[in-house]
Amino acid sequence: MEQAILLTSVRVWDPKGPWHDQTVDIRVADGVIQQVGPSLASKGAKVLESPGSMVSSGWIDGQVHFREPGEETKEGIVRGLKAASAAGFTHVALLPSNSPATDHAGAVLHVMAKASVAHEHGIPARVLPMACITEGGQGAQLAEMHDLSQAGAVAFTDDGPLHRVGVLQRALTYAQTHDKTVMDQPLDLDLNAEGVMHEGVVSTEMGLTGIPSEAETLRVSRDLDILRYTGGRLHFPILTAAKSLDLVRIAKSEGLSVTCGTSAVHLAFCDEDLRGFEGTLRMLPPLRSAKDQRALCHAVLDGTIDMVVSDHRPEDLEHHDVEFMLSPNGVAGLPSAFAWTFHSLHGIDTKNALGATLRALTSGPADVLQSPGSTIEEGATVNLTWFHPELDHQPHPGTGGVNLGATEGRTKGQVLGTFVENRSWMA
Amino acid sequence: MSENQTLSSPHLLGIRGLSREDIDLIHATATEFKDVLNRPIKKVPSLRDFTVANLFFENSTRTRLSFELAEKRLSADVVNFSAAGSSVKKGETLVDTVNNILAMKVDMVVMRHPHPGAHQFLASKIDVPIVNAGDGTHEHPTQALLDTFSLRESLGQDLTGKNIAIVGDIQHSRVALSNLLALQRLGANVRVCGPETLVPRHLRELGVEVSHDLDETVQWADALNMLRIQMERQGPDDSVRFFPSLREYTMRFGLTMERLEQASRPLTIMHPGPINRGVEITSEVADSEHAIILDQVENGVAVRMAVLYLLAQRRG
Repeated sequence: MEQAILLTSVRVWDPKGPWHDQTVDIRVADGVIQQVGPSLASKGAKVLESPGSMVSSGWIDGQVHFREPGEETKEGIVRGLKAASAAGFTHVALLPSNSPATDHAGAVLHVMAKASVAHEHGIPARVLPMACITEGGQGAQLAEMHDLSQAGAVAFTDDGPLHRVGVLQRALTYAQTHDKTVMDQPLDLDLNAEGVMHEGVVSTEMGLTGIPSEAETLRVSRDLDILRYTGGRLHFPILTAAKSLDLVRIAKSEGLSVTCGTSAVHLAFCDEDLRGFEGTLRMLPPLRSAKDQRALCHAVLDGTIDMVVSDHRPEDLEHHDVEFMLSPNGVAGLPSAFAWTFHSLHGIDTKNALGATLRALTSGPADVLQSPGSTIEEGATVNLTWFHPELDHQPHPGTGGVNLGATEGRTKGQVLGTFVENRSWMA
Repeated sequence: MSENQTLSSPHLLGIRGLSREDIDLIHATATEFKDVLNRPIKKVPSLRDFTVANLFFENSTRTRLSFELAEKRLSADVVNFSAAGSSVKKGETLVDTVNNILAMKVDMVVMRHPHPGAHQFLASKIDVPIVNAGDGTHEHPTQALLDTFSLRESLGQDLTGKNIAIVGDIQHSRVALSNLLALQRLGANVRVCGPETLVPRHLRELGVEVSHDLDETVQWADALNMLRIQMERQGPDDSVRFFPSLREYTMRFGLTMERLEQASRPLTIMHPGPINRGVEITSEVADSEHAIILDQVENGVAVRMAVLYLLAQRRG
């Protein structure tokens, strides 16, 4: 961003900042917000304008796979950061489940080095590296959590269920000194290990083995019991079942340090969307019933769910274009994560949908990942997402993944620009 | 032969895609072919210069033989491809395997595949009619068409209000799902009867009665369709078994003459084969006048002829 930029007539969404819900001009230069106010003079700045558009602090995606190292043909860190920028995200938390896994300090440094290549190319989005809880993400022995924290790991996850409760107990205890969040994806696969979708009438009609919601709620209960015993910070990355949300509500009301998320895919789709053996939407944890889907939307609206992630998992054509049973789990969800979330919440509560969506993409994940929040005021470092909530959503190209869930024209919400310090992406 | 009517779908992927009219048309056409099969010359020229590929990615003896006979009785040229899982092992995709065969000028594909939905996926990729000869635990539509055809012969053409029970391992059965859909299309009352752990939890939501009591079901039913326990589908060796033992299964769900004689009216007994004599059905019952098991096999050829003929005719 060598040239100064003037965003004109944008509505500010920044609940803790001085300009919240006001329509103003914002002038940025040299990586800093220089001036905020009505009708600013351009003074040679590049003027950006889109009537009805908005600005918030930069969005954070709390869980993405960029497939590097190990499966770079599916995307890679540089391309992933480009896709993130085009999707409105200024920060993405990178999962450690690569090959090799991010389970030692050197791997964290490698991820950061790759991300800095992206920044040299002018790509604004930044990486928040997450690290494995256990060696190789195998769920047996703790990884070097202290060294990983020192190297820059923001949180710990094995990107899947911790089958041994003793591992969770040790991890929650050990990580307390560093005050890092430990994540466990609650899923007990002893209940139908061969399941490929939610157990319900749809799986019955499709002749497919289902995974009951209890596979999740059993683990949520277990983990909350352990958290009561150990203390520490526990996060459930993707909750899918209505009953899990009730368990988290109770735990939060007790004052337990628990947070939870869900994915934009789980907010926008349900098991019925798999009819016709639609492999693109095969997910683990699975898309659940329409009733669960509604409960998830309500939980984002009422704040029970702290963050919404894209769970971006790009696939190349060779892995994607196969029959349902061979279809890998996951969707390249980054390009549509905002639109899916906003659209889904809007269907339930038009008034509060936007605020809840932005909370789940900004302050919510910032708290879980302990990344410093940002405000929109003069003198602040630039960390902004510029978007239009009323424009039809068209995913911007950029991701290496071909497994995009198709919603073009069906949802509202278009990203117009992403600005981090002196880097920017503009549609 | 039924010149004026056609099927509503270019493929036979499952009973779910068929209307009541489709089923009636297939059955009417099968009746005519059954007459042909009982003539001295059992062959008609309907599919002359038409090539059918039978692709079996899962083992089969009877279904494959039945399709092959049906194709030959229609004068089609037949090629067989049998490879349980081999194309995947070699790294070739299903679409590549099938396209290789189609490149040799094949006009129709009959396929059995272990993966539910494989046919639906293939239908979006290739340009010839596909007949589902079984896709994993999903559907087996020609079995359901021949079962209902046989039932109509036995109980009368109108199955409205007839009580039909499907007995055995419902959870792992493609025959059960296709049968219950076909029976519902024809207006029958459908019940499944089997061990608590082998009946899908959500089956009632499809409008099906569920029982775990064979004696009571014998009292209720006009016909019983006895399914085989599919030992190969009971999960990996170290998984928790769905029922304690075959002995106990037979005690609860084995159809014996003593059980059958408790019925207040004569019952029709079906079985899709292969029979495990002494497990789900005793020899005495299987060989009795109640059983139409061999009629089912005979009708299978006629029904499959009807399906192949109607799909080819639709293609023109």
